[in-house]
Amino acid sequence: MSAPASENAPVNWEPVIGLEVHVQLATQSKLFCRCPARFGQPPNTLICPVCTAQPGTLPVLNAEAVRLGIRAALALGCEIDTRLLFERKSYFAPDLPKGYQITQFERPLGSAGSLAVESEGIEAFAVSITRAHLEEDAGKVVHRQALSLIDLNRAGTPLLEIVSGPDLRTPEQAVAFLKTLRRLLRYVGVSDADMEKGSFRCDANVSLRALGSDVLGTRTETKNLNSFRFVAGALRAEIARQGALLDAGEPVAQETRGYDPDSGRTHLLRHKESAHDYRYAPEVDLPAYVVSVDDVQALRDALPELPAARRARFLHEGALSTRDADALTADPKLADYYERTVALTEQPRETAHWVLREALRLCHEGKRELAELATTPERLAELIRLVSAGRLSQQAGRRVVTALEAQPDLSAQELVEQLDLHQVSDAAELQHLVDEVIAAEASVAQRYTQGDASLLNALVGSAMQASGGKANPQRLRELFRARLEQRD
Amino acid sequence: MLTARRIADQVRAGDLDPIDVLEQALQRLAVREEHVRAYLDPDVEFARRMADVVVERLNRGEDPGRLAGVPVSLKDNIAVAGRSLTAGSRALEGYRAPHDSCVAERLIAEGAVLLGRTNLDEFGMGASTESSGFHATLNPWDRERVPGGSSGGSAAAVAAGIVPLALGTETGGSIRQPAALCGVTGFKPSYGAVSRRGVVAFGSSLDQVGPIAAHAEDAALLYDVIAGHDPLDSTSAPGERASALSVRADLEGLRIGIPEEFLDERVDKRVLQQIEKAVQVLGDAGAITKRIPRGRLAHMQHSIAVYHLVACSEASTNLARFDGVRFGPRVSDGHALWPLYEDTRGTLFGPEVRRRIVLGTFALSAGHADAWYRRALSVRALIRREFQQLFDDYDLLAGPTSPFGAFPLGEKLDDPVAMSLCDLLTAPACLAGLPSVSVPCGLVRKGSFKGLPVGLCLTGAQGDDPRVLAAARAFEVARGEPERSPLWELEA
Repeated sequence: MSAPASENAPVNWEPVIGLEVHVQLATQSKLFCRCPARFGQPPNTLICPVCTAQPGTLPVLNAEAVRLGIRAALALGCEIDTRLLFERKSYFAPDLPKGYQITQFERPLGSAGSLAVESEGIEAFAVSITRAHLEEDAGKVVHRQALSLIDLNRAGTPLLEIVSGPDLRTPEQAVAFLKTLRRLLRYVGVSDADMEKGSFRCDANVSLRALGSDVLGTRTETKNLNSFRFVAGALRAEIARQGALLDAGEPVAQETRGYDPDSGRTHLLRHKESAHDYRYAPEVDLPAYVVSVDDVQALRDALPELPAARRARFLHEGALSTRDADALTADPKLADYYERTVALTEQPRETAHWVLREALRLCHEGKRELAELATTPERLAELIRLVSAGRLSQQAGRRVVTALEAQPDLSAQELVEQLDLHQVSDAAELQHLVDEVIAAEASVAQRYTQGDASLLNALVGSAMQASGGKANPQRLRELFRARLEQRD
Repeated sequence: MLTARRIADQVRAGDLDPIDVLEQALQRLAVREEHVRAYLDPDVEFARRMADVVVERLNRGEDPGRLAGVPVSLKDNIAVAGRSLTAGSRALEGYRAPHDSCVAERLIAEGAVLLGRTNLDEFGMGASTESSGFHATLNPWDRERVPGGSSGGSAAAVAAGIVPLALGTETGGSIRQPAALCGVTGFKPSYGAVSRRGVVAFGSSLDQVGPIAAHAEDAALLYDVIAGHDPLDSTSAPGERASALSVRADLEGLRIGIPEEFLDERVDKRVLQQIEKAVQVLGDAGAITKRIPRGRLAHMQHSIAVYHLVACSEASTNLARFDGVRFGPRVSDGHALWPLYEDTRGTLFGPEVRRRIVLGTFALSAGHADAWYRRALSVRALIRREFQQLFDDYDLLAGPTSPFGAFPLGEKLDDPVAMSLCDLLTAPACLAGLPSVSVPCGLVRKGSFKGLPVGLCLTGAQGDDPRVLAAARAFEVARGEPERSPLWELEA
């Protein structure tokens, strides 16, 4: 049975959504062997006897994966279980070499956390994190005509499965939660959380309940939603499908479903009755791995200020726009760069502007990391101060930024002189410029005086161009106005 | 046949040529193997290459090591790089191990000459070696009888005098019981003493590799070579391990308890007579022997049930990888996945393996795991604690290894419950992770096991492996050389 996608959420029912997110941890090697954990390599080139389950092989837990898993769980405010135990989750699949997945079942390394979500356009909300546990990824089966080909490069890659509480109510909230989660995981450096590479994958549990009820309805699980668009689409489709069933007085069956983005519908994968009995059993090849309380504390201490807190601080201290605060806290290196710069300029809004527009432009153009720029926070700050002091126009400032990057030995001040970009604020000199422009563009000036106020910008622009970007545009504006309004 | 220790000493001294040692073993193999069928693959060319390597090391002036030139046969569930590894199963027919097991690495590093792959019950599941997917092995004392199992091939090869040393593996009794039934020494180390890396898993929380030897001192030598921490086996015990050979072989003052629970009414009376004589020998040699009244091992009576639940549950997951997808033979019409699984596993696994997988799958399944698997784990913890408490008062525990001597081929093959009694007295030490040795202590005088060897089992506290082996060596000295099987001195 498939369900049409509908933009209209059901009227009488409240959706209850919980998400399970599989995050690939950014370790060098796999969770239980020394094979590199890497994406996009030729099939079966990152395999060994352990991750292909040759007889007699044994797992050895990757300590770095434990570290990253705990770091992520701490960033989600989870309680940490310092005694790591693993279980075998048994099922047969051609991409599961051992016939069981090593996972954490009874005791997840993290539990009882939460994530605050703030996003433009929707009211801020918090999502509980039920659990976060370590497990190994499976390989992949590729179907090619009549053949089924198995690639085990991914088999044994470390995953952190993060399970949210049933706290989400709309597809928009679900997407905002996922974006916030992804930003957090990237921010603390535990994963590249790239949906396209499969390092951030989502399953969605959805049920509906009568408005006002606090009893949960029967839920379905929709698997393998590998883009934010698919998450939203699948949730909308599933909410509409379940709503239609309930409206018609029919029950929702507990089942696992898939999402087809082309049709915008979900479809049945398997019924609950045919659900696997995973026969969880202790992974006896791995005795308890004990992390000391001191180690957990050290990991906690090593956590940077988390993006939500930093964003709030930026908003509060600098009166930044939410858009700039979001942008600056997407990446801790960017936020650090901004903070080092603003410490020298003491002008948050201007600094945010120069960092987000100009420093990132340099990175983009030069295909460089912020840390590699010749335009260090110190050099950029000097430039920002020159602009703020009226010594340099914004337009000239942009030219200096390019020069700062090209000539690492010269300071902003020296480059302003070398390029002769000192802003001209001298009244007589500017007045001369204004008169020249009015003479040259008499018809524009006339239309302005006749009431087309928007043309002031054109006149100022022409004067700026004539000055080679050096004229003070604010002063020009005043002079144009004075001269043309005087004529009246 | 020289002892392993003398072979190694003479090879290291330049008094013995490893190639001669091997060729003599190969001559014995050629004559005696048809009587016992101990090997799945004698792999003679590989043994010759290994002997050549030892010679090269000698020629370079290097010390080839503590097992210089000693032929050692390995049970066919212990991996040697590039060699056949079947675990006695048709599901691994033709499979070659990609890597050395940890124990093979250590043997090779000490100059051992690995000679052949010995027979076993499929995946170690059995106590007679009749459940091998390939053929049965015969007892060197009586070709109509089983050698015990699952390490029956290794025990028979040593008992027939083909090699002085072999490696077995034990999950519930698979080293000690065949050693007892074949009249040789077999030692199961403490769980974690020897790395399991490269050993085909059966019951991972129970499995251990251990030596089978014609002389107790050689068992200690082989133990010293294979024991020790392996960072690639997370269950391997950390830290330095004491050498078993460096402990003085002395029984003086040892407190040896004989729990009544070991003298179960199901133990053959004439077997018990030999054990009583052995206890007398221990006492005469200075040990303080004492009967422990029934009660302190109250939960031992559940050992077989607990053992089967634990081992089969673990086996049901460990054997899931034999699915015909990545390695081993595949039985499939090439069209669908589930028939491939069903046909491969249904066809290639033998009845005992299928029985145990079904039992383990059931014991772990939803709705049953609490009543069976988890309950078994609870009782296992009780058994372990009862043993620990006994070792507050005793250095060693003594009793029979097997309730009976070697039984006729086919007698128990279709009666799993009767077969499971073979583990009656060995499974407890496996559940508790204890070091335990079986040493030959005489032949049954009368009755259905007349003329067949009996094994005395000595069990120590966890980690006390050197003391257990030292006691076995001292017992052998006190009692004298064990009786040897008719094949021992068989001429060509």
